[in-house]
Amino acid sequence: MNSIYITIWFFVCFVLQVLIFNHLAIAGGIVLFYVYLLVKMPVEINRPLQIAICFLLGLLIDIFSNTPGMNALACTTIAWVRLPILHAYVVADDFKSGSPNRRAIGQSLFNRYCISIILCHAFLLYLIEAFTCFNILQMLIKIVISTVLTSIIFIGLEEFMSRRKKEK
Amino acid sequence: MWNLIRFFTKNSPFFTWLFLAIISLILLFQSNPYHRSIWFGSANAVTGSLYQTSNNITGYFSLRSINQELLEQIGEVEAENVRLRQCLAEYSDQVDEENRPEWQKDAAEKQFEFMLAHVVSNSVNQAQNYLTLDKGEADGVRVGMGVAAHNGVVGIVANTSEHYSLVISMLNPKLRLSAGLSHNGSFGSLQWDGKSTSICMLEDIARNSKAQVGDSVVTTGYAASFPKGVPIGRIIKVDDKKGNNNFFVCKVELFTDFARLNDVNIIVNKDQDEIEKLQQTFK
Repeated sequence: MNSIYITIWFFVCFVLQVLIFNHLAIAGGIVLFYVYLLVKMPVEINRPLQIAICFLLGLLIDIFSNTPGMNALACTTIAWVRLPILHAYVVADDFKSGSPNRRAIGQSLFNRYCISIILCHAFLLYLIEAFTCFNILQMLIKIVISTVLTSIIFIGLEEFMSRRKKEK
Repeated sequence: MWNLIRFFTKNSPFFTWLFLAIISLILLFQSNPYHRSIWFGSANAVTGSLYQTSNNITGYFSLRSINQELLEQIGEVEAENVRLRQCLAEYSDQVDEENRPEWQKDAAEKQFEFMLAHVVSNSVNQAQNYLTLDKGEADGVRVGMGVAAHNGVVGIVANTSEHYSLVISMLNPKLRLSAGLSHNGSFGSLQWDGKSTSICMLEDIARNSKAQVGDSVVTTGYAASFPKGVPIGRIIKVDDKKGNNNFFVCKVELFTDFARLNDVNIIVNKDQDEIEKLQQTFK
């Protein structure tokens, strides 16, 4: 079940990011849609595997957007610190399996977890990018825009998904 | 021994991260644009064909505005054609074409050729931007050839595969282009500062060149990639404070609209091999 879930989301994230979201930029900040896989990765999968999957996703996106290593490094690192971030909001024993969602951990906690992951990822990504062409103000603007846009999309998507599940 | 194995399995998330992060860092720092592996770029066969499919669909969306632009341009060209015909009629009895030396005609007519190519992938929002074109080695594209759109310079070919090529865009700080003022030939080097997608900085222009706002900037022809006089942009600001006593910096607005590139010309310099071989012998 988990492997099907991950495979589907892996390709959805990859295709949407490469073909659509990479081309929609506001002041240089883009929607980081592929972070959805990092946010929703089921927690019971063994952690080295989680990190490897996220690395692969980052690498694929790098290959398609001509930024070798940039997204891969950010994805790998966020996949590694993801559980500690989740456990800062939710006690580990309360939530042992499944992917983090609104019903299991509550609306406000989920939103906070989601935004923290996106913010960390955006910060890391644009920091890595800035190694080569340094401009602090522009970097901060990009981080803020990316975080806001991506958070709105993810929270809306979560609302949509949890409602659809309730109807079933 | 067991303790060592236990140490590794206990900290396996950390070591997985470390291993993959090192791979990413290697990829990140080996990215010299001229030596980048074809496997990690949008010019390899798989990525190229996916982008081509998507571009076949999205290419239609901007056709209307491009069409409009072309019509306007045809109008301008026709007007210019009429004007030139009049000039020619005036001068034709003064200048005898046949008396021109043969070598002059040859250099102008035969050295450069243009090859039309389609942009299959393009970016403008990254710190370093690249384009992918649907012409590759099989069509005669080589690393180092210049690429221009109908109204201005686009970039230089950085890598080629059999049917695709990767172009390092003008909007990439790794590209420095030799550029000069069209009216008096003084020159400097043009580079993107990473801020706006329509503005580049022309550095190292000599102070006595009398650059003014509105002057047009063209290629110098010192590099084998571009012939002399390909339009680049227009000076919108002359910055006296940057630079030093002898040189200063100009802000140049590019003619090319990088966000809407569809068809470009690859400039084939027939003598490129010869020129490069000559320059190699001196190094």
